[in-house]
Amino acid sequence: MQCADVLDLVEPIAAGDLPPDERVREHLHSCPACAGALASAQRLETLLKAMEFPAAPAAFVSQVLQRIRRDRWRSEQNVDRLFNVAIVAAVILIAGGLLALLNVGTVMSLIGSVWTLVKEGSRETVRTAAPTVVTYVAAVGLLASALGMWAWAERRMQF
Amino acid sequence: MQFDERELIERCRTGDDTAFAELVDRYKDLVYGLIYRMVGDRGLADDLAQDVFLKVHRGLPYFRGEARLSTWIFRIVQNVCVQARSGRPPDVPLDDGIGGDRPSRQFGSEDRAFDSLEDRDRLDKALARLPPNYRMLVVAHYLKGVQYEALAEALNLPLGTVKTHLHRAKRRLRELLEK
Repeated sequence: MQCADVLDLVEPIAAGDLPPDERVREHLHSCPACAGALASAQRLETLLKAMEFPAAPAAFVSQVLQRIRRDRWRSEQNVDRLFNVAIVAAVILIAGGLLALLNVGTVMSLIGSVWTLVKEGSRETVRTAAPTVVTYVAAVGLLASALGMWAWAERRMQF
Repeated sequence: MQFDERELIERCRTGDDTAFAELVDRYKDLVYGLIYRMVGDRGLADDLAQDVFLKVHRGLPYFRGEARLSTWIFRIVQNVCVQARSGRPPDVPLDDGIGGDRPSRQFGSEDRAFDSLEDRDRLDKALARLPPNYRMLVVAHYLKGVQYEALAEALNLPLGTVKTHLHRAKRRLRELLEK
């Protein structure tokens, strides 16, 4: 048995993962370098097992809870902001609705004009885009898949 | 998963802060110890350990309980440590040049006797010089609670591969100690 073979087994033997067979034992008896490497690995194993891991600071739990509360407060603030935006939008819609009720004739003719404009515009757009629509659908599908995969990977990375 | 752990998770999901405090208390030393050994700075370890629990809190609604809670937390620790060291030099590949050079001096051999304090100090310094992926393996394995099987599960690697990488990591560590 060669030194290189035995040196590859030194760590598993020292960790107790691999009991040395007869040939390895014979080599270790006759080779001071390999026996020294095993002694060194065993010493390292002892030191690693005795390695100290510092405990978390005394106030750790309360600090984590504080950060969680701050985090929760921030997300509640965001909800509040969103709610305020929704209220402003609702007020504008209501005011617009009231104004429209007061000027029904004007609003109806405006709606008619907008409808005609949209109808003509979309007909023209469809006529122009029809030959390439398959390409667009495929491109959108591919883009959506890529975005979906990216979002999934991001989510996996986060946890 | 143990019943009390599942119950604890359920209570955390309902927004019970007392339950979450209990969860943090249960895993704080494991998380802090692991991160401290990875970054070697108490202040940074404190911040990163808090980040881990923040992620745990945000992720609990999505935790399906397929893995053990400790395994899931270990994965988060690993990701947080990877993010913390982004921008630093890249890791040395796991099979980097092991066995190429033979040790020039044997650690702990008779020609040089060290007391345990000095040995521990040298071990700390050698650990700090170990590539982060090796360091994480060694530290996680020797920190109470993270055994071969849990490591394999957390790293999504076969058990044999984890053992091989760990033995290589220790060999590298021994080489660093003997330099």
